[in-house]
Amino acid sequence: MKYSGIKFLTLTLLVILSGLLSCSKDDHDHNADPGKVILEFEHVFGPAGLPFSLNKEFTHPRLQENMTFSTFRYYISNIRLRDLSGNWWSQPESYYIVDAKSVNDAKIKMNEVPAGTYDAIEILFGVDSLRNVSGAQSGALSPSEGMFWSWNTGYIMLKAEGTSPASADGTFAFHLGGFSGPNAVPYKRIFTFNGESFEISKSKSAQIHFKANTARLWHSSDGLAVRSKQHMPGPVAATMSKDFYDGVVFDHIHK
Amino acid sequence: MIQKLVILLVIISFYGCQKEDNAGEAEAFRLPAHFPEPVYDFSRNPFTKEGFELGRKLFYDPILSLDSTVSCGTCHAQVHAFADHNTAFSAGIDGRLGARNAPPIFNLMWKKHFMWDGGINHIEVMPVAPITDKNEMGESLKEVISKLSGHKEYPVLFKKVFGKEKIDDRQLLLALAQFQGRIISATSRYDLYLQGKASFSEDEKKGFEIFKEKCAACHTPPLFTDQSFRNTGLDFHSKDPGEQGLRFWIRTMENLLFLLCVI
Repeated sequence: MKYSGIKFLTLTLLVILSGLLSCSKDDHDHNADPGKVILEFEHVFGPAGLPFSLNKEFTHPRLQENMTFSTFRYYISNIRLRDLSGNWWSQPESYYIVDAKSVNDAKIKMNEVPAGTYDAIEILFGVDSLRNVSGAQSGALSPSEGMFWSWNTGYIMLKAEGTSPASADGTFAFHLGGFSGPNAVPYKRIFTFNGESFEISKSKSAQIHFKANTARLWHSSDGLAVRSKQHMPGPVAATMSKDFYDGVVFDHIHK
Repeated sequence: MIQKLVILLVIISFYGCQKEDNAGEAEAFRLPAHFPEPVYDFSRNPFTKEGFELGRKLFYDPILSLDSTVSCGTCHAQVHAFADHNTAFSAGIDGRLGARNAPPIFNLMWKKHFMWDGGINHIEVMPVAPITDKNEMGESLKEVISKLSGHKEYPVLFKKVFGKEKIDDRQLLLALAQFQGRIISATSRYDLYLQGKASFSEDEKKGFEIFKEKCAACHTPPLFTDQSFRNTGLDFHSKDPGEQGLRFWIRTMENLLFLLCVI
């Protein structure tokens, strides 16, 4: 009687244990031992790749206009990573501001990336339309970040401000946004790292290095002598932002 | 005697029920039966008595403005059905005049777009505009949060509602939505008439018939607005065309007695 009791207990424990094991096995793909991925955005100016910085005068190669930036910030969101078997992992609450004011402010730190080997990343430049119509948000989406239009609800997805002798009043301000219709700013891009892949685990992290060319805002748009302000959604905001987003290129991965 | 006792017991038991309802965190709130489905979903901002009271305190506190002189209630005055005091242009800090007047803010739970031109798409983010506008409260959200965080009462009140150590702007906006979303006008004689709880005189009935025929296309009952934006004849005010190109909100006709000022 006693023996069978112990046997029963052991059996029960075994069942529970196997249940637990199978649980952790299920989780293994996506939650076990998460690691870090850091996205680094190195800002450059023009095709020559001059190191960009705020409060420094640059000459735009196409426009031949001088410009000095005081602000260059933009949203990225909805980051996804693809593993070698083609499954995508979507980062929850994935909203960040990339700020060109310093190397550190242009670094996006993702701390809870599931262990795995990844060969592609998807980034939504801008803020998805849903979060533009869903009321009060927090974190990077907090209206106190100054990237939010209060009178005509919506996120300023890219903000570039500064001074220029080419502008009639000596200043420029481009607040680019708009989340619906044909001129919606959010723009999805997938980077495949030139065929490379990287492994993430508790002990293995990766830094993905991008180059972003700020001069690309005027890749196909009028210069500051013609237009030095933009504060509304529309074709100008859509074209300027898309030109910039298209100019973000993958550079290398530090593993 | 026994009968009386039973009745008494029944009453007590019901009384007990009611008391429990009132004290309950979730607060049994009954939507006006003759109103349509609300637009704002309180499930993402669970309504509590404490949250409502915090929102009310914030609404009437000039701490939200740059120099602590203007509160939400300064322009959205309850005696004027939460609109401004019959002025053409509302005044903010330093007596600065804006381009419009403060609209009445009741029944916001049923509203899809906010402000006269409908530029704001959600009740929660609506207060960001008046708080930060230089002609209204002229303050930054960061500064508001820092003032609230250093206040002797607010940190405790916020923690009670949101359970977090730090106050942030999302909590501020959620608390304001709890109060503003529950300013409801649904018990006028007209409302009671619709529910069969009051009657109209012959003249009133005729008036209602005319209204239904000639006005209700835009001022659609029971909220007296179809929530659209139309040209209200203000073309000459070219300095403020609004977001809809001179088209403005078809305003509610409720509480007109208190709203002498017409946009």
